[in-house]
Order: sequence, then structure tokens, then C-alpha cells
Amino acid sequence: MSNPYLAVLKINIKGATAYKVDFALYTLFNMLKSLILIFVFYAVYQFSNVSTLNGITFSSIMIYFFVIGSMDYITGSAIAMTLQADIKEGSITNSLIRPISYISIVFLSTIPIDLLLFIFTTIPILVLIYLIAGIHLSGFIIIAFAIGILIAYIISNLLSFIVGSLSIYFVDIQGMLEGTIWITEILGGGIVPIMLFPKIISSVLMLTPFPFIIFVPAGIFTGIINANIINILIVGIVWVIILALISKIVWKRVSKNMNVVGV
Amino acid sequence: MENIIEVKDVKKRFKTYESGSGALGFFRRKNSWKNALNGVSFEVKKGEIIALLGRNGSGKSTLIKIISGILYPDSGTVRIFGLDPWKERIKVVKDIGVVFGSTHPQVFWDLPPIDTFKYIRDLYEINDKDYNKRLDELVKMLDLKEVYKRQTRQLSLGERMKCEIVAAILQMPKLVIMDEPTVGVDLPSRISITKAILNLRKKLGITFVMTTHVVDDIINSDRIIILDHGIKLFDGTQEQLKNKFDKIAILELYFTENMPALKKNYLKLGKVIESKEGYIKIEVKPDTIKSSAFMKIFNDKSIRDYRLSEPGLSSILEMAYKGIDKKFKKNKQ
Repeated sequence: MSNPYLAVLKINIKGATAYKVDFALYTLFNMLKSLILIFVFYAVYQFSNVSTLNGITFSSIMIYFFVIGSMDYITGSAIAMTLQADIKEGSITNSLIRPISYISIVFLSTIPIDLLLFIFTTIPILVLIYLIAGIHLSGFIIIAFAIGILIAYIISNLLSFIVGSLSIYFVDIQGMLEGTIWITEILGGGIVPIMLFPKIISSVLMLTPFPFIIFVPAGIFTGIINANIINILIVGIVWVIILALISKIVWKRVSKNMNVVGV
Repeated sequence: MENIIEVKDVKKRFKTYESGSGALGFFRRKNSWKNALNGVSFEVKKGEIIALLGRNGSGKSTLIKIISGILYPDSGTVRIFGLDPWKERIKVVKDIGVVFGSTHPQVFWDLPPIDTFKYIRDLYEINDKDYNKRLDELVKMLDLKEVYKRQTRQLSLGERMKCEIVAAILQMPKLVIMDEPTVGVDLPSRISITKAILNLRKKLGITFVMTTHVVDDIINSDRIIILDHGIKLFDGTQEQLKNKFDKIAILELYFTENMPALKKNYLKLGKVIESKEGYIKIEVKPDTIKSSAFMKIFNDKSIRDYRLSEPGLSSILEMAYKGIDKKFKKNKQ
């Protein structure tokens, strides 16, 4: 069946699986960061001689970091890198001449890889966590987690798209990209769960888009977030709408000022 | 005949930065504007092959990117197939094929070209019957039978460029835009690409616009457009370009000995283009042939051989570029 959108999806699945060993290694090494953070928190719990921190047990923290590790590719979108490379090297010209929008091409190029990672990494690890840790998952939690992970994925990609678009003005945005990754990790709950921050800080952070990328889906799955789930998800959806509008405005401005560096 | 491209008074400028001098030069950089196109106008009719010439930085690439709808002009109008390429982007790009040289390939590097061809088939919603027929014809035309199922990264530059052309033609566009399609390509591949372009124009009436520095590509074009400093300096056929320089002939003298004094006798015949051991190349006016100084050549025993010829296309272009430089310097003063 011929369809321009399916065509972009298909060719990117082929591209992503062209080097299968690299693909397998990527998924394996994704878990390393989680293991390190688990060791750090093990030390914190041991030396503080407490069984809970702000009501969170060590086993919850351990599950939390394993869940985060299983969805690392969601928190670190590659869209900004794609945009930077396309603009810096000038290869964007080939995409801008296609009968579908560049935005669609960029998003459809990342979705198949992430979908494969979701199927072959996230789902098996989450099933293992469920079986080994024996956490309670109701139908509501599963649906809320699925919505949360979708919101996380969209927000992460939209933020990455906005930062990536800036390469029109700055060409090399590696520094900005590193900054965004670290801000997302720190403010999003990638290093310390948001609940461990002082109440006032965690309340303010929950109004920003960052916790929706990491903390919210992992928190729902592990039970660290166990109240006001619907309200939290509504705030996440509002961020999706706001960031989608900003992306659209930014791209409109950017495409008018396109210089196509390196061509 | 229907106009495929209409470009009217197109202007485009880019912001550039100049670093200051010294260790803190980065912090003292100056913003400046570079005029890439300064009011360019031209039309292209259906089935024409246009060679877009000019030195690096003359505005060629900017112009073809504006025609393709990739860049927005600051002012002026562009119509492709009578449509606005930005307002009706999807409609326009469906009928445009592009080859942006070896630097920005569209054939996927890590996959065999056949996967790119199938991608193009789905992207442009080509039915299987048409796709198979077109692919067979193009593969035969460009001699790619043994090539297109191997991984692209393993192919030679010539083979990759031929695959780029297949990818640009598969959707059967009305217009194909090429940015230096034969640069660095081996001779057999270049001949094969040139033949394919002429064949496709003849069979399907496809219009080609290509930027090039390769004389063989220019010879096969119907019209030449020369850009420099963002201004269109010439728009016409090769004959018209030659006529601009028809008052010039090239005289080459081969001496038996390399004695500067011998050469000196002939320097006044015209403008010396090249001078090396035992050889001199002079640009002469046709009436010089009747002069007594010229007649001396026949009796001069120190001259082993001589040749009088019309300038070739590359010499004409060299003269044209030199003329452009003078004109530009004059305007600047």
C-alpha cells in the first residue's frame, strides 16, 4: 500500500535495524545509569539508617530507577540532534523537497526506532519488574501509565524539536542540547525523584513540563504517585498543547529565516 | 510553449559574521549582510535543459533552492508550473525531482538503493506497475543492473550519482533540478548520465536545470545562464555566448628554442594568455591575421608549429568570467 507517511516509517525501521548488534547493545547499556543511581540511593538509605525518605521506601526507589532506565530513549529524544545535523550539513534540503512536511518526516523518523525500543526494552523490563517486585497494578494504573508515557514521549520530542530548531540561528547547539538533557534529568526526576525535593520546590516543579518526561510515568507505575493522578495527567496534556503551539510558531519563523548552512 | 519556471526580480540576502582580530576576536565579531541574489529574473520553457553557471558564491545554489521552494526570497516572485511554490508546496514538489550532488545524497547510505527507490514509490504513491516499468527502464538506461541491490556505501561515486538520478526521476517529475550532478564522477558514468538526461528530455519532455562547472554538461544544454555576485550576467544559447566573443581568435606558437627574445617579436600580436618553455598562447583579433607582424610567422624558422583556432567553450567562459571581474571592479569604484 502506497502512503507517504507509511513510506517514511518503513524506511526508518529498515535504517534502524540495519545494524542489529548496535541496536541490541544500545538497549543493554541503557540500564547502566539506573544501576549506578540504585547504588547511590542504597548508600543513602544505609547511612541514614531510615526505612523511608519522604514516605518512599528503598525498594520503591529501586523500582523507580529500573522503570526510568527502561524508558531512557523517551526522556532523551534524538530530534534536536537530527535537526542540528540536517541544518548544519544541509541535508535538510532533501526533506524539504518531499510531498510531506519536514516536521512529519522528523517525527516519523524517530517513532519507529522508539517503538522498537519500547517493544523490545521497556515492555519486557516492566513485565520483569511487575513479576519480581510484585507491585500492584490495577487497570486504572495501567491506563494512566500508558497515557503518562505517551505524554512523556510527546513533551520530550517537542522540547527537543524547539531546541533543535535553534540551530538555524546558532548552527551548533551541542551545548544547549547538553543543558536541556541535564535540566530535564535534574528537574524531571531522573536523578532524584521529585517527591524527595522540599514540598515547595516539588510543587513548583510539577507545574513545569520536565516532571512529565520522567517522574510522572515512572511515579504512576511504581505507586510513588498515588493521588490526583487524573489532575496531574490533565496538566501534562495542557503542556503538550502549549509546546505543540510553540513548536509550530518556532518552525514557521525558522523556515522563513532558513539559510541552509553548508549547502 | 508553457513556462515551467518564472522568476521575477528575486532578491535574497543572508546574515554573515566576521570575526574580529586578536585573541578576543570572537567577542568582537561584526554582523554583516551578504547579497546572494540581487534581482534575478528569467523564464524556463517546458523541455529545456538549462546550465546555470557561475563561480562559487555567485548565487546559483541559493537560486535553485528558491526555485525548489526550500528557501524564501526576500522579495520578487517565483512561479513553478504557474503555482506559488510556498503556498502550494505539496502540489509543486510532487512534480520536482532533485539531485543535490554527492554532498547531500537522497539515496540512503546504509541501505541498498533499491530500498530508496521503494521509499520514493510509496512517498509519491506510484502504483506497482508504473514503478516496475520505470525502474526497469532507468536501470537499463543508466546501466545499474549489477548495482542497485548492493549497499549504497559500497558503491562508487559514479554508481551512487546514477542511483541519485533514478531516485529523482522515478516519480516522473516535470522539472528536475540538479546541483553539480557530475562533479567528481568518472567519464563512463558522466557519459551515461548525460545520455540519460537527453533521452528523458526527448522521451518525456522533462525540463532540467543544472548548476555545473563541467564543460561537457554545458555543451549539452539548450541555454546558459551565468550568475555572478547575485546578478544575471548572461542568458542565452551557446551560439549567442560565442558571438559575444567572436572577435577573438586563439593563436598558439611552438618555438624550436626557448628564447625570450623570439617570443618578444610576437607579444604585440595580442594579449598573452599563457607562456611557457617554447610555447606561447595569444588572444588575437581577426584583423591581426592580415598584419605584417602575423605574416612573419610563416618565414620564421624558430617557429616549429603554429595553430590558429576559435576559442572553445571553456576559453569563452574564462573570458566571460574575466569580463565580469572587470565590470564588477569598475562598478565598485
